[in-house]
Amino acid sequence: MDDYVVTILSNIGMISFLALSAYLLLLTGEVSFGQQAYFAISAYLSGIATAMWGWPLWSGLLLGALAAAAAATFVGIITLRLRGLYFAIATLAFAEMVRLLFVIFHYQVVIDGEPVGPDGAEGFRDIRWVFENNVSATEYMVIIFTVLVIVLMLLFLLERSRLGSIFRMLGEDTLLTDMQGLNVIRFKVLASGIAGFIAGIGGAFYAHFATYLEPQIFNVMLGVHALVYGLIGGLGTAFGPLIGVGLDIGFLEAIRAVQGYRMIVFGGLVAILLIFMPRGILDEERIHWLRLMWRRWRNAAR
Amino acid sequence: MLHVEGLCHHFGGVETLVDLTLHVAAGDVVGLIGPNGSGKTTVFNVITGIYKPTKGRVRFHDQEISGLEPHEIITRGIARTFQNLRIYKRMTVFDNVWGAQHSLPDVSLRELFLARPRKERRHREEVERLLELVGLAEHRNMLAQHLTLQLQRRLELARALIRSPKLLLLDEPAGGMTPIETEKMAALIRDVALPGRTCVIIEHKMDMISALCGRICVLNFGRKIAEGQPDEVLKHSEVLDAYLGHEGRAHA
Repeated sequence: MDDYVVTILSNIGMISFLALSAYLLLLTGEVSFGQQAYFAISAYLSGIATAMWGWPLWSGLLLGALAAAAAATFVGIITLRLRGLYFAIATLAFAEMVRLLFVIFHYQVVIDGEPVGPDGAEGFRDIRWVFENNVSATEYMVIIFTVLVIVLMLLFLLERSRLGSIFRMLGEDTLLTDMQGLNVIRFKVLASGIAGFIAGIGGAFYAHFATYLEPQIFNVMLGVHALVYGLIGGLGTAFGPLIGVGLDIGFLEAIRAVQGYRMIVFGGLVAILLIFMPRGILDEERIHWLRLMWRRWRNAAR
Repeated sequence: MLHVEGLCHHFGGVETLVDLTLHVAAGDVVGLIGPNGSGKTTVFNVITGIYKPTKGRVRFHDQEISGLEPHEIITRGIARTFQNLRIYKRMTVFDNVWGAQHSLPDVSLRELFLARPRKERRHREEVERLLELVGLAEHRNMLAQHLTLQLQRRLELARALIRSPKLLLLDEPAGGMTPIETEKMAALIRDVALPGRTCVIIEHKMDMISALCGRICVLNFGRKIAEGQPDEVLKHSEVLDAYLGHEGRAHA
């Protein structure tokens, strides 16, 4: 596989985690403009763990994702009492706060005569675990997608479970869900925590893929994209956000003709889709229809 | 069982409930009637904790419930329906009712994510049986938004019943229905919802109220203006005034 394709596919894989993270919150009816913060927290922390403390990738990834989940849970506790727009604004403010903190964050140690670690706005260089351990770009891509498939399968299990049903109930009608005896805030905080963890996995992979982090990467546009992927791909299934990512990074990036105009084309695409399909391509109705068809086909085959 | 004592509630300067007292004993079926805007739904909203009372209290099973969070009140054994129909539109009929089971005490935290197959099957069978009872079995796989209004009201009733509540609050269960549909709904409430249960019903359709309720409480401008057996109350002069006005009464 040529390097270009591997790079694009790896990007799709990593950003998919972020899209799934925003999707999970969209399910519960909350719009977050701040999922990039958890992506960033995990990227930095896992990078510090492998490059400075000598941890293996898996431990660094787990630490980063757990820290992201903890941060998301904390943010959820203090902001999920706010509704709708106020929650969206609060998440945006938090994410910007995290980004600006990384601008002034200095923590370096000297390894082999070279300073290693986050150096504020200069960024965080030499997160070299992947190279030092002779993992090829293709192998790393396979690792990313393996974890992505595991996360997806867990999400499908979640959607079939009572907890998944609660998330969808929250997304449709919070008051009604309260009237079913469910502690609305607690479940929204839980969703936020899980979403933070998923974003964190993506962030950790990103840090070791790019080997270089700077705070500017984790700006609002990253979060907006993550949000939009779910909205255009569809909120009926966890496949939805993946379709969104594929459309943007895969399709538009691959068509070199639109390069440079990519954001414009993508923006227009989003606007048109949201007018005709307000809950995305694979929305609840289409998924419901597909399920019925599948059931009918399976019964006929018997 | 349910004791509403000296309940007051206001939206800014508008008094929606004034010193309302209502006692409902176990097994009672009480009709709550009154003109539009007289505070009927507000009573339900205060009982279920959506609104906090500004004065007075609500006791349920000898425990004060006013001031608790809505979900805490509900899990003590109260279920309600809504006048303006609240269903999960993008979920199937089955999932709407199944969803009301999630907070049952015998569904543990772990089972929210990992079901215990045998228990889950038993719970699902309960949903199927109830759907059968209310006449929604053949629609179980439809999205709730595709049901007719009549069936959506039945769905709300099923969702309220699946938790086996001790107290059932029905807010215009026959709202927007034709006379024939109303009769069917009344029969359904009588046969499926009421047996072994305490119930408060808000309704404008007097035939239905008289048929189902042993006692009626009439509200006007947030005050109780009459209470008693249906035939007595409906002759009460203040009640006629509230509904028909002085002139209307002269014509009647």
